[in-house]
Order: sequence, then C-alpha cells, then structure tokens
Amino acid sequence: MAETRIVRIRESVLRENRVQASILRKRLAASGVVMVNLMSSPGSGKTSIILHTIAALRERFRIAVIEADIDSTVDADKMIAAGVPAVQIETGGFCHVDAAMAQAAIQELPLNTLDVLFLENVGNLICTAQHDTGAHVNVAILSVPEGDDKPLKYPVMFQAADVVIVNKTDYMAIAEFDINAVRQRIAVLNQAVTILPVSCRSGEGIADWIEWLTARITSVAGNR
Amino acid sequence: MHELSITSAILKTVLRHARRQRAARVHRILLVVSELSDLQPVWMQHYFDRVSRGSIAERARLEIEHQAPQFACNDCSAGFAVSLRTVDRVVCPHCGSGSCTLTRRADYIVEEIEVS
Ligand SMILES: Nc1nc2c(ncn2[C@@H]2O[C@H](COP(=O)(O)OP(=O)(O)OP(=O)(O)O)[C@@H](O)[C@H]2O)c(=O)[nH]1
Ligand SMILES: [Mg+2]
Ligand SMILES: [Zn+2]
Repeated sequence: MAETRIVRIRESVLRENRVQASILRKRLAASGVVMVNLMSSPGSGKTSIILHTIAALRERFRIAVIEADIDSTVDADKMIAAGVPAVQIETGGFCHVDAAMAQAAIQELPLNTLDVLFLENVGNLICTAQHDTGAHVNVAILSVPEGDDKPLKYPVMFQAADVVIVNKTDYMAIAEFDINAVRQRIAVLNQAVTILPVSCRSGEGIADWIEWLTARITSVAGNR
Repeated sequence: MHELSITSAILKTVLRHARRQRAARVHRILLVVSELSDLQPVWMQHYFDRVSRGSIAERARLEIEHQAPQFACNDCSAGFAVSLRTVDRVVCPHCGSGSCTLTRRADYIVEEIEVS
C-alpha cells in the first residue's frame, strides 16, 4: 500500500446548503416574496398556525404554502381547502427541507403573484434547524404538552428561530409548564428571539403573532 | 434519516477535496461534530459505508470528535464549555451569572482526511 498523507480541510458540510439558501433568499426578495419557515415536533401546531394566519392576512397579502409533511398530502389539502395555492414537496423520506428542495418546490409557484410563502417543514426538531431553507423568517413552535425542558434538549432549533410560538397554552394549567423557565432557557441560546404564547384552540395570543409577523413581513419586503 | 443526509454531505465534501489532492483512496476522515448535533456515531459509520460504496472513500473510517457547546458570560465575558446533556441551566463557572450566550453554532466540520 502506498504511503498515506493527512490533508487538513476544516470545512463545514453544511456550507454548500448555506450558500444555496442565501442565493434563494435574495431571489425571493427580489421577486417581492417573503418566505416564512415553520418548524416543530410532529403535531405541535404548524398547520393550525398557518391556517389561522391565512384567515387573518389573506386580504392583505397574497399567500401560498409549501407542505413538506412526510408521505402525506393531508396538510396540503387543508391549505387548498382554505383557498390558497399549495405545493407538496418531495422530501424523499428526508427529515428536513434543504435549500435545493425548497427551490424545486418554488419552481411550481407563480412567484410574481405572491407576497408571502409559508413553508411547513417536516415535524422534527433537529435536522430542520440545521438546514437553512432560504426563508427570511424562521419560526419554531413548541407546544405546552411537550414540556418546558425542550429548549436545552433541542438547542439548535431555538438558536435558529427568529420567533418561538409556545402553542396550546390552553393546556397550561394541567401541564405544569413554566413559561418563565422556557424564557430563561431560550435566552441562553438566543437573545434576539421573540417568544409568543398562543392557543390555536381558544385564539388567545393569535393577534400578537399576526402583529409580529406583519411587521416582519413589511420590514423584509421594504429592505429589498 | 438525519444521519443519512449528513453522511451524504460529508461524502460530497470529502470527495471534492480528495479529487483536488489527486488521491487514489481515502482511508480516514476526522469529523468534528458539535454535541448539539445529536448524532449516533454507530449510525454515521453505517450510513457512510452505504453512501460511499463504489467511491474512493469506500471503507474509510470515520473518526468523530465531539465538541461541547461554547458559551460566553454576559456579565464577566468569560468563555466556557458546557455539556447540555448534563445540565438544565447554564451558569458561568467564573462569576456564577446565569446570563450567558451560546457562541458556537451546531455544525459538522470535516477537519482532515487521510489519503493515499
Ligand atoms: N388543545 C389544543 N390543540 C391544538 C392547538 N393547536 C393545534 N392543536 C391540535 O393539535 C393537533 C396537531 O395540530 P397541527 O396543526 O396539525 O400540528 P402540525 O405541527 O401541523 O402536525 P404535523 O404536520 O402532523 O407534524 C391537531 O389535532 C390540532 O387540532 C391548541 O392550541 N390547543
Ligand atoms: Mg401539519
Ligand atoms: Zn461570568
């Protein structure tokens, strides 16, 4: 066997995706489209939040949705029933959406007739957060029944988010969920993040979320 | 599937550099992985063997070095590492402050490769 030699590389394997994502982000902004990526565990409320948001903002913005639920078009069907264009992404069984997959899904949408594009990511707290999709706004949803210890168990998610929605606050009383502990744990990972308690069931907090998102969309769209 | 997508990305990075080096074979890959990334080394090697089959990196050994997350204290600005697996609160070991900031993001770095 020939002699071996050691080559220093020091390169992140996520680099290529990060480059692609930032190109996509610029392209969307240039077309006047703001992409909002929603990440959470399975069942935390991604679809419910998107449906509430469509109901609140459909008069103001032209909205479309990219759905990445594994092997199911149930959520995409709900969006179409809500009257917005929706495309189902082919994740090929993968646990996250990356910039290339988002880009492929976006080809199927009429960008010049849209203002806001929601991406419902795969229900997963680790891989999704590590892969930049090209979105302008990253939303993490933590639901009360999952427990207040999640931020330090899944730090990557809370580090990547611009906003954390604490959903299902209607369970707060029975779940022994300490929202202040959540705020402290998230602050260690990410000081710029906004934390919004919400219940998609009772509607509590939805108005705060809509207000936060509207301001974000306006600021991204204004900066292009 | 987490490990599968990451190992495919590792292979791509490794092959690109190996080609640039005109290497005939890759024998070993040193990977520095943030503890935040929550990967199972056994599965990593398993998936790597699968995705690298037929390439010059086939049968390369993955060596994985875990790196504890790094924090900076907001009060005394000391830097320190904490394993989040063992604590539920981050406290500065120098001044006891509970106000700290994560300074290194979760990542996978191909640190070096051994080729011939
Ligand atoms: N009690 C209560 N239930 C909720 C709330 N929000 C959502 N749910 C319920 O939780 C379940 C999951 O909500 P979805 O919106 O489908 O969650 P998701 O994150 O899109 O789920 P997947 O796409 O399957 O990962 C549904 O039965 C919702 O009706 C809430 O605020 N309170
Ligand atoms: Mg859903
Ligand atoms: Zn200190």
